[in-house]
Amino acid sequence: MDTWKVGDIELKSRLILGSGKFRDFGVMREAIKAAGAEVVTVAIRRVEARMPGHVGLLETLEGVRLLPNTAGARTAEEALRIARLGRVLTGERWVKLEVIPDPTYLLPDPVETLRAARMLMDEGFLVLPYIGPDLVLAKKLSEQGTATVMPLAAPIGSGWGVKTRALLELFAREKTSLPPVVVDAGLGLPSHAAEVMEMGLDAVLVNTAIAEAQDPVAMAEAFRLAVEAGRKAFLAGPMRPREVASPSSPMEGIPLGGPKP
Amino acid sequence: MVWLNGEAKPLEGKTLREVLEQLDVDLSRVAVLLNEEAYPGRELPHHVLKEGDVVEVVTLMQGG
Repeated sequence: MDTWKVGDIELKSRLILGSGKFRDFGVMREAIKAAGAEVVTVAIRRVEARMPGHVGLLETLEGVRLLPNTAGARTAEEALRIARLGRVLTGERWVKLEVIPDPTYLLPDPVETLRAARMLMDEGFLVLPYIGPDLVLAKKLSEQGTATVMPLAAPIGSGWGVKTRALLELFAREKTSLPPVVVDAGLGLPSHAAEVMEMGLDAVLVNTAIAEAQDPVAMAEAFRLAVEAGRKAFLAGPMRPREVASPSSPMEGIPLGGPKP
Repeated sequence: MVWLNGEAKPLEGKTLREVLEQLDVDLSRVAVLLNEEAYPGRELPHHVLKEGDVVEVVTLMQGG
């Protein structure tokens, strides 16, 4: 069985689903099923009087493991605060660490992320940090003992695809000195997910591409198939590209009607 | 003043539990941060609010 591990948690599915932006919980539930996702991310937010959050969210997410995020945190201290609340709300000790100072591009702050990771691990959290495609940062986080590294393919929610491919290839080359690499953010199509899985990276996290599809359930299934296909292709050992063409049919015995060459 | 979910409110002297009851939220679905300590809604500490206390009452939401 081709499984992978986040800390001591063994997972079969390599597709982590974000729970944001789904138009209703019924669609979300069906999409989770179609995606075959075992892990779904959730956010932590203030409650309004007599409006206790998204009523029905917990019921919708029954049967999957919740991965609380620290979305909204701009500093390590804010991330720690949100993570503590997430742990209390979900009973999970893992956290998707996001420290994002800028709402336009939603790019993660590497300095605060590194600092927050250390603080969270001191409190016993299993840390899954969202980062830029920065191998040096990834190695520093890995040395600190984060459970994964989660480099971005493109800005959150952009759907641009694997714009950071050249840098993600370095992650693939350095796999042995990294924890599982989960490509998070920017994937817009199943082919994007297949592309990073073919590179040998461990998993993907997808939200907007599924939630904003016209048919999120069908798109969730398409992503599941793409992740499985990409993983299988990686394990199958892809051919090496050549500089010039290489015929697939024999070059001898071609019936051209003339004398043998 | 007490900071409750980012707003200054005259809640000094009230208990944390009384404030949550006033919010009328399902305690099984919320967590409370009281001056950096996080508690499940059902396991609130007995705390009489005082000037400068910071209280955040939160729940799970959809998010990626």
